[in-house]
Amino acid sequence: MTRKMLIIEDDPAVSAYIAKGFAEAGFAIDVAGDGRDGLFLASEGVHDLIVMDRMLPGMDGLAVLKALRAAAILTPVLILSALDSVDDRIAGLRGGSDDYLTKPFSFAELLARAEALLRRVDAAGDAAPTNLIVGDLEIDLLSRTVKRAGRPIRLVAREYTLLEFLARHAGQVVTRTMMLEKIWNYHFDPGTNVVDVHVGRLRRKIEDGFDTPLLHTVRGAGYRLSGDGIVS
Amino acid sequence: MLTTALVFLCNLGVLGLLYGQLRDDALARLRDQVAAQANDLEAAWRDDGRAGLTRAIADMRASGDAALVVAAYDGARAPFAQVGTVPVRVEPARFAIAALGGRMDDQARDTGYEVRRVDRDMLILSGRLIDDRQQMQHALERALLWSALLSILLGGAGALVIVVYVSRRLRVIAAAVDRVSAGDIRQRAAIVSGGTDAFDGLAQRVNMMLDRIERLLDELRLMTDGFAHDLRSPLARLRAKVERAAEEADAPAAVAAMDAALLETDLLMRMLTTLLQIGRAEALADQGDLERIAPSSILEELADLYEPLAQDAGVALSVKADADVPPMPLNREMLSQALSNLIDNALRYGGTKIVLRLGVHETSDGRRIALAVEDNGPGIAPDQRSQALRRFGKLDSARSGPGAGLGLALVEAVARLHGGHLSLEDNGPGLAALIFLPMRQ
Repeated sequence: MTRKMLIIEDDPAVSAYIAKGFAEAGFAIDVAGDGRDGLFLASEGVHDLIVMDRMLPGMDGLAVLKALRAAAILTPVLILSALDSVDDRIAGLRGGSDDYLTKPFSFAELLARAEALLRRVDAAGDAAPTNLIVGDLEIDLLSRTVKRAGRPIRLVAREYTLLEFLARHAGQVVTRTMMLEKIWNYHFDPGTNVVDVHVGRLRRKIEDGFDTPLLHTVRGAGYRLSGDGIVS
Repeated sequence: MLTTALVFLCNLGVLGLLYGQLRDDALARLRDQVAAQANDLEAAWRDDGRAGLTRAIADMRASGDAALVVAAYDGARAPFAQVGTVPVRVEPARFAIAALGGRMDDQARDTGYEVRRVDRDMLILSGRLIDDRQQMQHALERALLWSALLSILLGGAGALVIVVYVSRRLRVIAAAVDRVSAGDIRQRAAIVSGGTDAFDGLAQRVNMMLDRIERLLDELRLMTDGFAHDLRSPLARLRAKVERAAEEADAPAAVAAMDAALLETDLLMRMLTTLLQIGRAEALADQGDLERIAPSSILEELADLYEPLAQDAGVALSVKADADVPPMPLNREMLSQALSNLIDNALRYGGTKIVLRLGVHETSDGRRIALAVEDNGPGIAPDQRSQALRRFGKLDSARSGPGAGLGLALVEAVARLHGGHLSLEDNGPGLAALIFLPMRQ
């Protein structure tokens, strides 16, 4: 089933840029150029995801969000904003949004986070899994052990955390920013390839001595853990 | 106006109270005296009947008390004994005030009296003229009126003096602020009384605020100047790369050129973000984000992040805590970013060993902690350290490397956000970059 997305953004260039990207990813797109139109369209409750700017003419993004949540519209909302201070981020998340991305952004980042949000919603109904399986890799969440093709793999704590995060997003692109935020809880850019080195270590541990690569590098975006061998 | 009205009302209240008290007092005393007189007459009657009463009244007349008004009635046409002007007939009555004396008597004057029945036909009247009391009363009333007038005048004058003085002192401060608003940030309020009274206190605080505003304006000027100057180079580079990409006929080469342009854009973005963060940290805008955390956890988490990178570069990274420091209010995000800048520098310019150290120091102003990144590289010569700290300040040895030179400026700003400072010291050999923070509960 085609996923429907609503973009609420007053800058036509940014709006078109996002719309094009998501259309290519297989979404059906609705666009609103200001807060009121956005609220009107969103109130129908038919969208799978809303990408919304905060600074909108007429009705401010946070006000739209508040109105939506008050009307019990639970569509996941990803806020896109040039307002990048910690206070702004907290205000956005507390206001009812599900993720917060600052401008300028790379489309790959936006897409990765959108997919992550959608998966979260899809999986929301399922009972908590006790293990994750990607290809022939198996992660036992209860004992925190990892096996590949039956052989146990020894990982240190942070390697395990990284692998679990990638596995929960198996098949999706995970960006470096997402990893820094969710695993190390840092919202700044260290400016070096610290994360890449962590991923490299993990990759060596789970791929050395096995035939199929599992941890794929997605150029210009991040990484993807999957057993299908497809690199985008 | 308000002061005058208040003072007047207060005085009026006091005077009113005084007047009321005096009047009630006087009346009470009169009633008591009249009652005492009546008691004496009644006693005389009981002792000796009519004769005794007549004798008592005669004695009273003889005493020469001009205010005395007494009489005895037996039911006949007129009283059989009296002193002063009395009515021809009376009825028993409790204490009252009236002008006694009959129609034919034009000397009736206000009298306080009471009438008692002592026998079936026998009545006695006991009273006192209240003329002299009335005169005293009038005199008092006049005095009180003068007091009221005087209090209005004095109160008004006093209030006026206070108002003029306060206005004058406040206007000095207001004038300074007006001059600042008109454009001269360097203006300050004059300290008039040697800094001792409340107005000078206010002036000093306003001056401190103006000092701070002046500093912030200078920072802002510096920041925008820096922006303009130092964004030019990366922007020029970006432009060149995009131009080259546009000219590339060969598709893969064009893509490669665009990727290079994208990298340049990211670099610019990072620079801008850092500049903004420095500005914000200095304006204390983020100070509300302090949470209680153990400083050692900040170092440990950073070590966890950087360890693989350090190892790949052949650098041994470790964490040492010289003391056990309990959780204190810290901005984890900004401190982590600041320390990450220092670690980054150490990895780039340092040697083979990096230690993240937590230390506690006792100073004359209290205890403080030091979050330090110590390396064993070439270090920074003492005369070059202030240059390194300056915004966009990059030492010659680093000029060819990447980065905008803002890293240390941000660390300094974050340290100051917590009320501390950054210090670059000799690690013997190498550089020790220390963030000193006061220990607060």
